[in-house]
Amino acid sequence: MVMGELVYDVDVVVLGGGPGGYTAAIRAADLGMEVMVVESRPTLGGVCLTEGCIPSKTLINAVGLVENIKNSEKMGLVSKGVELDTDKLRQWIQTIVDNLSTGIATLLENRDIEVVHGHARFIEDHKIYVDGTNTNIRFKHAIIATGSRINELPAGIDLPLWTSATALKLPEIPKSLLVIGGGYIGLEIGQAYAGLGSQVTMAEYNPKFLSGADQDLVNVVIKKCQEQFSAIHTGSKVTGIKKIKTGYLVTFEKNKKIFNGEFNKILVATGRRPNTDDLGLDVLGIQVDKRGLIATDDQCRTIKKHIFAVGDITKGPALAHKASREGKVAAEVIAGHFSAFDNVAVPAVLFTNPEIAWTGITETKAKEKNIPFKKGKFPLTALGRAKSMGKTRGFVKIIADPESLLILGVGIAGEHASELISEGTLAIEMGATLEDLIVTVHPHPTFSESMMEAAEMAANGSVHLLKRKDNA
Amino acid sequence: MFEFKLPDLGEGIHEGELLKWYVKEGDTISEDDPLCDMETDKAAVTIPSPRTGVIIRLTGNPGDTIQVNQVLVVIDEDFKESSIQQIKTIKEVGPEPETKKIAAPATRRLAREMKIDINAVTGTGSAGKVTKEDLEQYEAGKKDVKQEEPGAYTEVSLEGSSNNGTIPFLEIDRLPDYEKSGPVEKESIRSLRKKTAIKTTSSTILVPHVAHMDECDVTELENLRKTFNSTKEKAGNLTLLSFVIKAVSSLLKSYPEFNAGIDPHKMEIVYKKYYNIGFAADTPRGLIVPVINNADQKSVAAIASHLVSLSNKGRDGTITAPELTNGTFTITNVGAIGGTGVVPIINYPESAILGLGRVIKKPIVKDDKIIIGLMLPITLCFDHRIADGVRAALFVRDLKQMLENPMVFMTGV
Repeated sequence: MVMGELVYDVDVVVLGGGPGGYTAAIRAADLGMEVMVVESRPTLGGVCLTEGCIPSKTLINAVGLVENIKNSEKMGLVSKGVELDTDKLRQWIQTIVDNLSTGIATLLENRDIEVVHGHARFIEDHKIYVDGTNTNIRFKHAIIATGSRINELPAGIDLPLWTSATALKLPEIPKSLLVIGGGYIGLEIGQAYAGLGSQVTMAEYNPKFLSGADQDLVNVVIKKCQEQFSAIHTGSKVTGIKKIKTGYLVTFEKNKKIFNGEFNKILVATGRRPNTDDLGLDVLGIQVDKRGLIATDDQCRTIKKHIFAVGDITKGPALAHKASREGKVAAEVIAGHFSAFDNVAVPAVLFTNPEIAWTGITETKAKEKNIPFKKGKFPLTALGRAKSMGKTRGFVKIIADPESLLILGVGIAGEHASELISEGTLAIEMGATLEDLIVTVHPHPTFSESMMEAAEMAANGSVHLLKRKDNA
Repeated sequence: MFEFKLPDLGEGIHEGELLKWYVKEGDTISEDDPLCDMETDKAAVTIPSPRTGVIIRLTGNPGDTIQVNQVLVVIDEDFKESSIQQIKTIKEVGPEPETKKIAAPATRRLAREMKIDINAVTGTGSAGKVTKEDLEQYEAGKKDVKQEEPGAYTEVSLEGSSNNGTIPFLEIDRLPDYEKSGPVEKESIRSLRKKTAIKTTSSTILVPHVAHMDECDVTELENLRKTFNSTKEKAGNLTLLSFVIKAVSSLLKSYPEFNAGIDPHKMEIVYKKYYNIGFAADTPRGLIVPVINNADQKSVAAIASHLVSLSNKGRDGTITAPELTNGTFTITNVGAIGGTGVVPIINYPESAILGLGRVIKKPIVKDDKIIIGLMLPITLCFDHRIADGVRAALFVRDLKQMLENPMVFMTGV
């Protein structure tokens, strides 16, 4: 032992203080274990809290309010030029983030969970070393929850392009903004900046946006984007970026045709990669696959029985709610409980305008895998509550097994999709049938009625539509 | 990488108990080398390795029940050092089975706690959903997986009273602490002992047994037997049992209710038009019932020689599952050891069983004279759901006549 070196002995060490890590730590402590968390950032909460979900949704909410006010003229709401003070908004976002991060720190503190800030690496089967703090932690079990980071720019591009993290800090509202990457981050931030007043151009390499998602859901957003954005280039490749005085000169290639565009700022939103490359996993004999993911079983256990992995570094969607559920499973398994990540449905939610969300099996997947299904689709134009709020874009659709009428999947586009989707997820987890949703009394007038109506559509037709529609 | 699944072990056999492994993970094995011993409810078998390679993974421990088609062992034919780790990873993170049972999260957790593979449980909830009650039912009887299989018996567990609420007064008292009273030795109930326990319990609970008894004077039969055996024409000796089997198999044609079975789910009696007579045989492993197929079509000599060969196979453990399956009627002959009579338990799901006691000389009255008769006590136990006492009385009377006048019945068939 080197002088000044600290050695801790704990039951569980958690690598990473994001949604997967802090949830695991808290659950493990509540189950009677001595727990430590190693977090490389100065604050807790991970990407989700510091530069992801929370700041982006705070931003999107503010931008949405502006749009709502502007759109409320027909309701008699008279406003003379709504202005957005970006400095104040930036402060507001930071306040929310700080507040929540402190909250997590308090939750850990209350449970005597020690947090060490630094980069952790495995140096032995039961020992990690935390860089920068000269700390060794000996542990019985470890939960790796190191999350993911933004994909680096392609080699050779050495320009101060924005990432989603930059954009969420609101450094400025550029006059023109190019968003490279039409995934959910690109769409969300692109729409937010459009709402803030930027002229947004979207470039997506694939011919379709969000190719895994049902295109009828995506189209609701794309339709809105077409109104908001200056241009949308799908199937387009960015072949060159040149710094010019006003910003960047960008060369695109689409269908073998080359064209240029000038933009003040560029946001690169081309995906994320797992943080598994510098953890000393080789010491443990744990290998990662070609995407950098660690293989785990349904108890979140790696090939080493005492090492668990949760969140973005494991297979499945890189989503905070999947990570936190896995974190709980890992902690419970360590405590000897019979837990497993046996969830049937992990909802996906896009805070676009309008929101879209889906859970369970998508229609696209069902067709791809030849899974028989019947579908019910209920447009929000037929919903009283949607009309009263002037938010009639979108629909709810439910996919069910044609024989048993078990609900297999739910897709929602429209206002409150992010909230409504949970009823679908619960239905799928509980093995609910269409009838279960249909006979459940849904309060009127609410958006939640659209779930019931869609279920009726799938079963036999809704009373709120003019005639029965064939299930296509 | 070769996944060896437990092969079909014969008709009606869905699972076996793993008795022992001949190998451990990491061992090299050659094709046809012994891999493990399995015991089914019919016989013990040694399963040979289908491939040459390195054992990557064994899926069970001795004492575990392995289902037919369940992966038993993974053999790497092209072995590299990393393979063991790899296959473990693949196993653990491999794709989920496509056909997953629907159940609420709490039910799924309960299944894990009860160590039940929820995908094996039949769901009775809406849309085939597995409920907590289904798990309890499955745990209690593992009923639902077997119910559908024709010919399979149903396990009835007496543990836990909730599912046995239909049997009033049925309570299982906790055993007293015998060790306080003196030294004891404990043995777990496994293998054949367990099978016998299950079968006899099912039979006594499910079947209303009636016993009908009589004695046959087998003096003439014995004479005939001795005469036959003294000629030494055949290699094996005829035994009393071989004659009884012959007589019973032909008599059953007139008494179909004793060569039948009840399907309580369909409310049907199934009469079998084939006459496969099982005989209870004591082996070092326990009680087995080898079956002589189509005994009605075989000569007494043929039956006798089958009796010898099946008994030998049973004793040295080489008897195969088919030789223990598909009986339609059973005869148990404890008389060879002793006893003035026996009231056997029906070999469920058959409908009747014949018990033979010890043949002894007794004073009997014949033509108003007391003479010495060589008497064989016989008992027919039958399922009263299928037949009434009259039929049993007639059956026993006819059988008695056949055995007492062997020349008549031997020439008649």
